[in-house]
Amino acid sequence: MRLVVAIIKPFKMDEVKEALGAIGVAGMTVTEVKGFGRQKGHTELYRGSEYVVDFLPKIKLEIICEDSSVETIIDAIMGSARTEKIGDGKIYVQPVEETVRIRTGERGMEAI
Amino acid sequence: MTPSLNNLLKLQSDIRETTLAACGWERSVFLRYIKEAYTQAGECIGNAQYEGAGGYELCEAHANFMDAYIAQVYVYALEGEKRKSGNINQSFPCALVAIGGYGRGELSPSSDIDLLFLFSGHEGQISELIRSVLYLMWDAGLTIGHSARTISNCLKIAKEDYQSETAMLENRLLAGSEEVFLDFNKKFDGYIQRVAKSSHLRNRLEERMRRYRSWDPSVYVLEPNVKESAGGLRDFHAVCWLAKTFGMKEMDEMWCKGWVPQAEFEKAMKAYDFLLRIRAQLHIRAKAKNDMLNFSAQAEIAPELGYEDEESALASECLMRDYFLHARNLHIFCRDFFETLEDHLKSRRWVNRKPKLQPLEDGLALQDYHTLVLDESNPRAILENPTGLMKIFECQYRFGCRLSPNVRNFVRAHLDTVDDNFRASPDARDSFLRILSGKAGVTSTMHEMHGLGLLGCYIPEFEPLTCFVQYDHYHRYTADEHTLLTLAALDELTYTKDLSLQQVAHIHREMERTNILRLALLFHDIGKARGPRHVHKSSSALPDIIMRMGLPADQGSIIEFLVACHMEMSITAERRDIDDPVLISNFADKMETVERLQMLYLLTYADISAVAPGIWNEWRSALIYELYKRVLRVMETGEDLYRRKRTEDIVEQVSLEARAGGSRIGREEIAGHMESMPDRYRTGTPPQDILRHIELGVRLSDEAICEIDITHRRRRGNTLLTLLCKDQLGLFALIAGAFAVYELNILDAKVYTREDGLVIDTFEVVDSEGKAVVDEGLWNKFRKSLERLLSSELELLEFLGRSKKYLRLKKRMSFDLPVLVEFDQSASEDATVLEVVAPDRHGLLAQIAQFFAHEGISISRAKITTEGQCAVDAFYITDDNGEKIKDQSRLKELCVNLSEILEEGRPIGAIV
Repeated sequence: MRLVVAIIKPFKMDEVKEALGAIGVAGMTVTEVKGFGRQKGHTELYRGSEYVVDFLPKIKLEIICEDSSVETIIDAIMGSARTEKIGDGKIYVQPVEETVRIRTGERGMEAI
Repeated sequence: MTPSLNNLLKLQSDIRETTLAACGWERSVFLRYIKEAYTQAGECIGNAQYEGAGGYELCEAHANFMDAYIAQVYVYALEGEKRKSGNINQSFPCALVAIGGYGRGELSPSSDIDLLFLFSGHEGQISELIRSVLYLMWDAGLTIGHSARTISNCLKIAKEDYQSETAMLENRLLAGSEEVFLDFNKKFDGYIQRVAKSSHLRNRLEERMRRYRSWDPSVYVLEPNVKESAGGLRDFHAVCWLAKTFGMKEMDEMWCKGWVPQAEFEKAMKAYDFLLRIRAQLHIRAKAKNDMLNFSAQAEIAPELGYEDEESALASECLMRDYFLHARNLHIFCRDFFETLEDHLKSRRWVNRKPKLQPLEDGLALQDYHTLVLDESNPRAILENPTGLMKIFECQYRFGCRLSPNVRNFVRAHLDTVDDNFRASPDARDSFLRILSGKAGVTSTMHEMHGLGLLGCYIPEFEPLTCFVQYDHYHRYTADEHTLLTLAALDELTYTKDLSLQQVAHIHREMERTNILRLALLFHDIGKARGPRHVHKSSSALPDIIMRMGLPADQGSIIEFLVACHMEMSITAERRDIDDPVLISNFADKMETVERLQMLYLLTYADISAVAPGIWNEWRSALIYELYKRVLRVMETGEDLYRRKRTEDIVEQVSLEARAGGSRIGREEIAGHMESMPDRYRTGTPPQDILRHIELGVRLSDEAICEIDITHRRRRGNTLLTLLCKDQLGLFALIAGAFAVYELNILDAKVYTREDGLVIDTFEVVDSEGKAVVDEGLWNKFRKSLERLLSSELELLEFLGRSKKYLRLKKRMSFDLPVLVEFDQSASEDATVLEVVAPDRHGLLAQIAQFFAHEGISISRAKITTEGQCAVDAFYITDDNGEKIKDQSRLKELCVNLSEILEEGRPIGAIV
């Protein structure tokens, strides 16, 4: 099992959700996050007073999946979240040791 | 009485009449008997609820049944103990007392049954008895809360623990020694009157505050707790407890003795009954003590309570609307009772003190500086003014006072004076707008106005929002409460220290026409009660309201704009690509003026904040701010894309303004003026200011050197000086010099040059104490000096030399502050921004302006602030071609030279 983590631009959320739904992803966790990468934060001068905008708002998605579906999921996210501008985000993949559905106690692939 | 309640009554009398001898004193037989009776009673209660029994009726019947049941258990146990001891006549000085809610004689189906065993002496035998009673109850499957105390123990605990004291306040003898109970009653009563009474009200108020804090101070949360929430059962209990403390034995005494109006009392009792009924249903459904009326519970119990889906609303929405109407009545009743009691206590504390009355207009008076009362000699005087009701609220807002319960009742009783004439009256409107234009504290007045029903009468379109439930798993409050909370969010900006709100707060502080913004907030959701697509429906209701209130066309169009666009900003920020320049350009185009953009930004903030706590978070705020900033930049630099169309719109607005003000300025004149002004003027100047500039330009004849217009802006606490004259080199330095000599501080300066060489400058100035400059004599002198300076009759250096303070430090420095001069090319599209931080001196600005004039640099805009002993200024500068200064080495040289001059505090003349 793998955990796919994607950081995307907030306005792309709906498109990504649809794209993932279309390839059969049934569940995900969505978090409002802030951060920066190469896009960097920047300092703004607004009418003489300075506001530091050091973290930019992003959306973080977490999806647990079978090893074999990782590539399909990555493709779906890339296809839907890309604007080809700086700040489009990143995708990480991590191994997952165990999953448990709390209600039933099912484990492993059954619990996804 | 429903059939099932009759059955319950029969069960109860059965228990009472069954001789225990019939059980043959066999414990297991007795147990079986009472268990069965208890199960049957449970069924009766469930059925009675479905048959539509009243909430109070049901709880009372339940309590009565339990009385009989528990008394019988006690008698059985007592007989057993007597037999064991072999002395049938032995007396046990022990009383079984019901306390808490049960003591009041109300039991919801799964409520706590709290028992108190009161005893004196003979501890050994008594504890045997108590044990025997408890074992029987436990074995019968009853869950109870119990305590066993002597009378002195009771008093001791009451002193230490406020909650126990409250529980014991409501007591009823169920079984056992009457003598012990009466003794307790006498002593406890004495204790309450002697010790607790004085602190009781305070404690109750504190308790209420605590409860509201842990739930929500609003009645109108969509998932309330019927017991603990504001307007819940607890509020009414607190009133009962206080009534008891103050010697009222029956609830009816409340209105009989004039504590509350009878009508309000009856409304409250009805509300209480309704809440008890909901609570009973919640208990029956959960088969446990559950007081949370959450969404799933609402959906399930609504049909059970007889609600049906209607065309425009679900059954659960109808249920909740009723719930809120009742909870509101209960909440208002309890608040009024608390306040009446407070006043009563105050008047008793100072026996000889007469309340201080300060008469206001229209038969109103301010009592002790904090309560608005009616003039007692002629309580109907306020009605001589046809819009008197609105006056009451204006006074309340103006003096930040509360309304006396009398005034509240008066308003409720005279809502019928709000007729079509009232609604169309300019007087009422102006009062209303004066309330709405405040910077803070507006919400409490509007809350009061809505609570008493005036808001819904004055703006009938608002009334359907009252207690309107919005099922979207997003909103936490009813539509009316949400709307009022948006106003509260705006109020909060005035004093907030929250760093995440600093950008919004900054814009709010500079906002001039907050009353328009508040009107838009009041109206933004009025379409909600008319079904889906509420934005459209809100908008379509607006023209009627605007016409009726007689709002000027320009204000009306802003309100229509804000309501129609009230979702745009959040949708665009969250769901559109704001990196797309066309999107930003289109958005800017839609906004038309900076003021509209800023109002929409504030409205978006207020709307989102009022949805539920935590929805306006740093994340969302950053997204929306980013959009705001990008759009603002496009508008201020005036990108060419939509220039023509935008200019037409502005011309239209200005001519509207001109017609409204009876000005003779025509459309062509306005268009000509706009065409020959720089882009940033077009986007950054409100229509009424543009009109004034044109008028001043007409007045500026050939002989006059300059035309000066002065307006004092009380809200911002500063004076706005508008100056029109022919352009000349170093003009800004001359003006700044004049300000320096007259010791006026410049807060903000906007400098424009028309193509025909006419300069239009505006300055926000304050005096040395930071207040508006209202001294007419000073302005006359200023005008003369400036005219002489402009016509070169007077040399600037010589003139500055007259001021002894020139270039002296404003405050003694406690340590050396470094001078900082830096430039920023990215902050503005069309100018280099030069930031200057330097110790604040008299005439510092004149000195800097002279420097720029000397270097052949123009200033297009300046933002001037003082932080502590430091001046922090930003100048938007351009070279003689009106372009950014691109030559890096020139810029560096400028910075170095300026720093040197500032550091030494040297007059510019010295280096010329």
